[in-house]
Amino acid sequence: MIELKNVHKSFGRKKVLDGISFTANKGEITCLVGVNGVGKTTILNAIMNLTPIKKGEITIDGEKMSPAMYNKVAFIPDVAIMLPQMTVHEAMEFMKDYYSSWNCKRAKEIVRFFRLNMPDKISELSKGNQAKVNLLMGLALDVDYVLMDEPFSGIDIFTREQITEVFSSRLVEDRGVLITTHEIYDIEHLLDKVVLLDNGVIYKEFNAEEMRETEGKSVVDVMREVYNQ
Amino acid sequence: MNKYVKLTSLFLLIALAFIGFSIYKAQASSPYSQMKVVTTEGKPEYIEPVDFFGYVSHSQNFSNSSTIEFNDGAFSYLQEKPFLKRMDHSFDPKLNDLVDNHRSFMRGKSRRPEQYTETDQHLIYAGSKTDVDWNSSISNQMTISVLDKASDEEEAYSVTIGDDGAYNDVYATYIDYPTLTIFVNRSGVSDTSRNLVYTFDIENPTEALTEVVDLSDYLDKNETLSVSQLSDKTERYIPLKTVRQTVVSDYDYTTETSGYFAYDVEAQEVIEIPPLEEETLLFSDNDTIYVGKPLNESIELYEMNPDDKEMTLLGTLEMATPIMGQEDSSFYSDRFNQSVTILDGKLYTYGQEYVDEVSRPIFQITDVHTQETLFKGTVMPKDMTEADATSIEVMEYRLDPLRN
Amino acid sequence: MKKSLHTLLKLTNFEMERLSKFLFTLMGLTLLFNLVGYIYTPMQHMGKINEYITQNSATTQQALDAFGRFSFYDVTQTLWIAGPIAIGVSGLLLYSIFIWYREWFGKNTFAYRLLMLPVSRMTLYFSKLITVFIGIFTLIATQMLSLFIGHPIVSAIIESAYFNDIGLIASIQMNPLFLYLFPLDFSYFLMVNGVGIVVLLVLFTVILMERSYSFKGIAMGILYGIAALSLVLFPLFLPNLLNNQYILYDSELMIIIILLTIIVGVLSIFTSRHLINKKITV
Repeated sequence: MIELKNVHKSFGRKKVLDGISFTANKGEITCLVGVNGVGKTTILNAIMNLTPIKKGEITIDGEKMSPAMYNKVAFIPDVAIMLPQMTVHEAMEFMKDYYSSWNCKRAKEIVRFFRLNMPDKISELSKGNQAKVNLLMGLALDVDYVLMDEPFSGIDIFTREQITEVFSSRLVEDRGVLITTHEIYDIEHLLDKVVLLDNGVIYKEFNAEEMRETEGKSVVDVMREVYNQ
Repeated sequence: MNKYVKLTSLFLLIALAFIGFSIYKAQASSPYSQMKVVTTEGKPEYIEPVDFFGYVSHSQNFSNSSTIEFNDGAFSYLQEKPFLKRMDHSFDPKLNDLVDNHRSFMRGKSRRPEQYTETDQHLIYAGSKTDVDWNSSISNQMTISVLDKASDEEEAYSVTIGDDGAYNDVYATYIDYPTLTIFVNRSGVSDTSRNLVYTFDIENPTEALTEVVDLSDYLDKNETLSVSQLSDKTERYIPLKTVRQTVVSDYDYTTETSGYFAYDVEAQEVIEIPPLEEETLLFSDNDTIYVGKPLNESIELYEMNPDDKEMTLLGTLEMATPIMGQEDSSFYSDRFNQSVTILDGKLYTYGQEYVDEVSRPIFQITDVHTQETLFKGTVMPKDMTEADATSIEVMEYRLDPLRN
Repeated sequence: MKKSLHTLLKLTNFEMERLSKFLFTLMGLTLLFNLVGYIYTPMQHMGKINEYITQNSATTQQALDAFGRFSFYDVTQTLWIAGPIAIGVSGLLLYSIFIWYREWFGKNTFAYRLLMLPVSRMTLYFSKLITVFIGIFTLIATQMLSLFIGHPIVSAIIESAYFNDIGLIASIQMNPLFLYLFPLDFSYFLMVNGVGIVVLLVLFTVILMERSYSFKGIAMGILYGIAALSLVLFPLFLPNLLNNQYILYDSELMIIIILLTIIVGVLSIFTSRHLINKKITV
């Protein structure tokens, strides 16, 4: 379980996270939603110790983040993070060199699934294919948790469908997934938990399926209610 | 392993280059020529009291000179000394000895050797605050520190000198234990400068220095006082001379010695020395005053009776070159006899000889009573093939009376 | 421990791969410029001599009196040698800054990947430090080799009558630049490289401050740099503060400076460790 307890974070004078507490469980897909600038990416960066927090505690299965934990938690940010001059193959070799959790067999499956070419340089790939490479680097790791930041951002509909397929595949089966996205329609039916952020706090936390069944509301409906208030 | 090819190659390149360079450097002939004392007359052991610093350069590369030290009969190059030792090095052999042998005592004290005097048992320092702190204001306080060499204990006394706001410059000190004699130039008050002699009794210290003689009485307005460089500061007689500068025109002036004196440390009085015809040499050694008349390549040496000033001719000492034993009078230097001195009955002198493109020092030691040349020689590279291209210039020279 | 060293080796190798193009360019520039110097400078000298002899019907001795002897030192003094050294020094200095900033401001934000590697972040830090130093020593080694090659070339071009063969080592020792670069005097070489390491450590700390605190970090970094420099140079003011120029011997002052430099270095490492582990942000 990824657990955040009373996490505070400011950028200069602007308070971005004001006592955030929530959990994301293994085997579930948890989605962070909210308008732009509400702190979704900051939460993911904070979990991965890529940005410091002012106050609070973040644990993963009861442990604080450490270098060894990067073999347990993968982060797929919304920007390309491998060297542009690397080929897909070189990027995979790089990951294999440093991550003991790198699964070569799964990596090849993902390459085939996304129809990537190993000799292609990352800098020469389209935005959609770069996003796929990002996913490849994260999903080919045998980790317990995968964090994804806006995986659908700025990509075409067909690539988006491919990526959506990933969520219902065994690539994320049994893993805890924590995702941020604006393209909620694409994966709403797959979500287990939704955490709605506004003004630095958690405004609402609910089970998406329960919300649908009991109140007949979609995630977007709930968001609309919250922001209209 | 292929991916480590570049890194490995670079490591190998670095290792090979550095190791190769170090081996080559070790094998290449030292840039520092090994030197030796060459005796042309007499015996080399007589040069043992001599210490000097000099520059060694090659006629093809005058810009590249190395500093050589001759101490206790051996040569060494400054550049070959350990790094930290080089930092504490001074170009004055006496000062180096003081720092090497009495490092703790020398801490916080002036680096002018004229402010130190020593006997077999004691090392004594006399100086003021302005000698060590150039930002301090002038005061009439002086510190006299006495080191007992046997127990290594230091005793310091704070004494007053005068009662005006003059700047006190200690330019010579002598010891006739327990009496310390200090030559001070006091300047600044009413734009005058006075040369005074003070004494201090180490065994019966007082709060103030005792003024005994005002040497300014022997100086005219356009004259300065010069003190003989003495290797043994326990001498009874201190040779002095007055130097006059006469302005001839706006850019021309003449300098001449106007008077010769000897200060008697025991009697605390000044003895006037009748000069010889032209330039006169003046020495003191073992309570005896010597007067010399430089001739072309010799010195006619007399022993002077301080009471009746009678001169007794001892003989003529032959010199290796015409200029050896002679020094031009300087209006601005408070010291003379820097290249010629008498110590324990021997006249020590040195000069520079210029042959073709190289210059070399010549050292000569002569017995003043028998006029026998005890040593005459020079310094040359051991490797004779370098001899015609290697120059050695003596910069600082002194005698160590303890090695005489 | 063995695993950390292996990771350090891997990362250093990785950084070296990224440096290699730039480094090989600098090496090539050094060799090329030096070679031009080894050929052009003595040829120019011989040209002047020959012209003088021809125009004035002069003898060899007269030419020697007019122009003096030419030595290998005369070549090492020229810009053909000093220029590439200056380019190398400034190039690697800039690279020491670039080696960090490119992770954030490169085409892709590789900083994400580096900071998420399952290795101690200090291994990243040291791999970059070691890489810069390998670069420095590689250029020094290149310069050494170049001089070894150059000496016989110059000897061959200058006629023996006009050549002052003072030897390669003597020529090197006469050039003050090489006193800093080459191990001519071991303690001096150690000192120069020690200062170099500490300068780099302070620079890295300043960069990490900026990467951690942004604009505030720039101010912190500048202040840190000034504080480090002040601390190291403070002993030079001790004699004035203690109102005695001779209270400390020069060697003692040097030892104090060395100790303070080491302290600054160690402090920089610990500060960098704190910043890179706890404060840095992508």
